[in-house]
Amino acid sequence: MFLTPEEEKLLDGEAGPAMALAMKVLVKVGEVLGAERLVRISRAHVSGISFKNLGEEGLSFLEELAGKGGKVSVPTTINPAGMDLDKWKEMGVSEAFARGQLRVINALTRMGADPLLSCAPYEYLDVNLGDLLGWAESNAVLYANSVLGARSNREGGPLALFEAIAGRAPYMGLLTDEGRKPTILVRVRGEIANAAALGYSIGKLVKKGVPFLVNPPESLRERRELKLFLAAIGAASSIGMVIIEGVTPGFEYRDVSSSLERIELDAKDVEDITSRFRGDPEEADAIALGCPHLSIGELKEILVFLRRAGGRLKRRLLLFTARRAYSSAPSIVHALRDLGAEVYLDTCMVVADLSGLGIDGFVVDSAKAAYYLSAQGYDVTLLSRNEALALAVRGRL
Amino acid sequence: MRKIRGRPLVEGIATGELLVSHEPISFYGGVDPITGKVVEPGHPLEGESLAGKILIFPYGKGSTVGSYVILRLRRRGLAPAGIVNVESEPIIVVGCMISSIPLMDRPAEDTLSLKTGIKARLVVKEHEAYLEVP
Repeated sequence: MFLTPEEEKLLDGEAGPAMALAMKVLVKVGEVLGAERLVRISRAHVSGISFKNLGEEGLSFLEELAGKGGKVSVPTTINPAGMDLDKWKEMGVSEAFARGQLRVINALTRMGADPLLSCAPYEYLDVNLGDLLGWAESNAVLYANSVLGARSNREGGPLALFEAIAGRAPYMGLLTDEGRKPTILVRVRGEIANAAALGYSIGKLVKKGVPFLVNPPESLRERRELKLFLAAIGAASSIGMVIIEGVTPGFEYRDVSSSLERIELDAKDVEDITSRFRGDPEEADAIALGCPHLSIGELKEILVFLRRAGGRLKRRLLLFTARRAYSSAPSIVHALRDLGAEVYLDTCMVVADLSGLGIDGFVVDSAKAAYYLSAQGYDVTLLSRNEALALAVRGRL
Repeated sequence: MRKIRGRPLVEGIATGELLVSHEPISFYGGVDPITGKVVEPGHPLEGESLAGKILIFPYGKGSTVGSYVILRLRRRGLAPAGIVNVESEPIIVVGCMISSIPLMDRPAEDTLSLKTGIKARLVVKEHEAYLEVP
């Protein structure tokens, strides 16, 4: 790999052992993946920070990195933690876990990371067309590439941390013009109402590469549906970017080569592929929303919906968002809590251990959440957000 | 002894019994970081401990948190002594780098047909890597 004289010095330890390790890892990963050089990034987003995943050993590693003077060189945000930093007791989290989780966040903060603790950093950051990013967390990467026109590969959690420290990433894949060309054309036949189910199905069918979705359903004009759609693709595949006609900046249908492979799917395909997410909603203990994290706008919509529908909840309703969304309008979260909703900050239904909440069956509006919750043995039903909220208020479908 | 050469990725020397999997391994979810055993249901290595073995498998799969699982195994003394992949990807490369586990990929011969249990030595230097088998 070609390195600049400055990069050679960083690799040799001139900026300390943490930077040297970060550079060593980036160079090696770049070589394995065929990158010819590193490129400067403007932001990083680090995932995989739940104490559940890291354990004592991962925690020690992060504390050692911070102790060796490890510092991020670009603005760096972090993904949700394994618990709400205030309400962890209500979630049934043990004191030992809470202590470990706080130490993980402290180590990252000492290194200069911003403890956003959200999987939807794009809701809070100024990310622009052409920005080069070192982001982990697949839904965020898909959103950055497909909606904002920024550029990021789907980095791993630890790799994104090394990119944050080095301020660089291997120049390859979705960072390059070549890597952002469509590899398959996807056409939807007829109406498909549920964007999350559609995203999951496209992910399962296409698996990798850069699909070009032509004539997308109307629902994908809405930001909340786009988030659910992209998160679902990320959970079902290794895809890091979807070109959505009329949404993704800088792409036109006429850019598509006529020799491009094509697939079509319809409502029946989507129904078949997502059939594993049809549990028994009548028996579900709780409705869980917020994968990806709900924005303050979405929380407001939910509040309006619940008030119009009579307000009182007949089923448990769990909502997951970022502390920063809460801080921007605390009254909305307080009003939701007054109606009986359980609003959790800093964490989400994918990374938190929910076994302390006494729930066996979930209704969700996110196919990503459905995928991870069913993998943990929960009975899961995927509905649209409005269907799920109606169930929360009426107690039945 | 026979030397099977490959691409050097993480330097070090390891001696141990081979443990061969024809299937990719997902360290996150597929290997228990506390016991060091493969727990993925239906995996050919299900129930096997990776500790001290020279682990041969095609490539890593699954969540990138897998790198931290490799680190946790290493710090608990339960990690493989060395790893040989057909083609490594970032989960395994990063995991081995932060855990100082010797790693080689692109072996010049088919290593997946080697027998589990035979004694072997993995040598990975800056510009050279080989697996030594009887």
